[in-house]
Amino acid sequence: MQNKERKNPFRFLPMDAGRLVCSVLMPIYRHKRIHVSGGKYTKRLKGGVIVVSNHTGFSDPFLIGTTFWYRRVFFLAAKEVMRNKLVEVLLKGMGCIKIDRDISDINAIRKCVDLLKSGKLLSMFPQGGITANGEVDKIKSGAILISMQAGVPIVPAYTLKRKHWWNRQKVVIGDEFNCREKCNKRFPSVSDIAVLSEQLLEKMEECKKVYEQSK
Amino acid sequence: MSNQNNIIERLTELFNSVFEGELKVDSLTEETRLIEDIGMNSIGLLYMAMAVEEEFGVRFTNEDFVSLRTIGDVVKKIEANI
Repeated sequence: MQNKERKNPFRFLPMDAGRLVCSVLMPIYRHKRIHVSGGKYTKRLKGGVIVVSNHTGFSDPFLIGTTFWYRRVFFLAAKEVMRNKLVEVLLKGMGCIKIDRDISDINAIRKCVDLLKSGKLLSMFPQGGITANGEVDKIKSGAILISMQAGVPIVPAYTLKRKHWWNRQKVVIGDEFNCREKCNKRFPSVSDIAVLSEQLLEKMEECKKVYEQSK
Repeated sequence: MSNQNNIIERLTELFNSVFEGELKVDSLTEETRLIEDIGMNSIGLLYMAMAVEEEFGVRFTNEDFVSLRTIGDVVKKIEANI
């Protein structure tokens, strides 16, 4: 990823242009960033990290992107979303990594691991699809698997669509969830990953509760 | 042949630690089928590939996944990279 960036410094121009526009709009129309403890979230994420969030609609990537506006945020996008070459080039320029959900897409997983190892921020929606009502009842294990492989923490987040466009958007952000600290095996077993996925789900549910309690 | 047996032994050990008795990995042979005999699904294949990559230093691609059917195919992939 870094080599490609060096070869083509304008590779992520669409993403950087979007961040520039957001940086102008943010002071006028910025959303609340709430820590899972209930206070204001002021921490700045550094190094390789995965942000996992529930997925209520197509605006979520923009919301997560603006929540962590100080960094380039990369996303996994289903191959179905990249329906033609133009959309694919544009989405890749916005930091999307194409994943084929019909197969064990090891190429995409490896790209994510390499990206995280090079210190980037990757955002994932581990429910694997859109859940418009905001329920977080189960998640897939991909985020845990990638986190274990890359040796980076996961930060859970929760958000919902606004009722009206003039409402301020809220995002609840949890503490770092470090898989390697919880399971230090060289080869984590399938059941280890299932247990970690359950624990991560609980962290996302905590964020959801705080979101519902916050005004 | 002994090299192949050695690889299969290491694979058995590796699969035992990754799948911890959840899948049938006790008596692997070259003919053992990954999906039908061991019971791997798509996520299982991914776990297997990542563990094999870590243990043997090989790199799987999506194209490999199409042709991986048996333990023998995995052994061939490992041997090709040694």
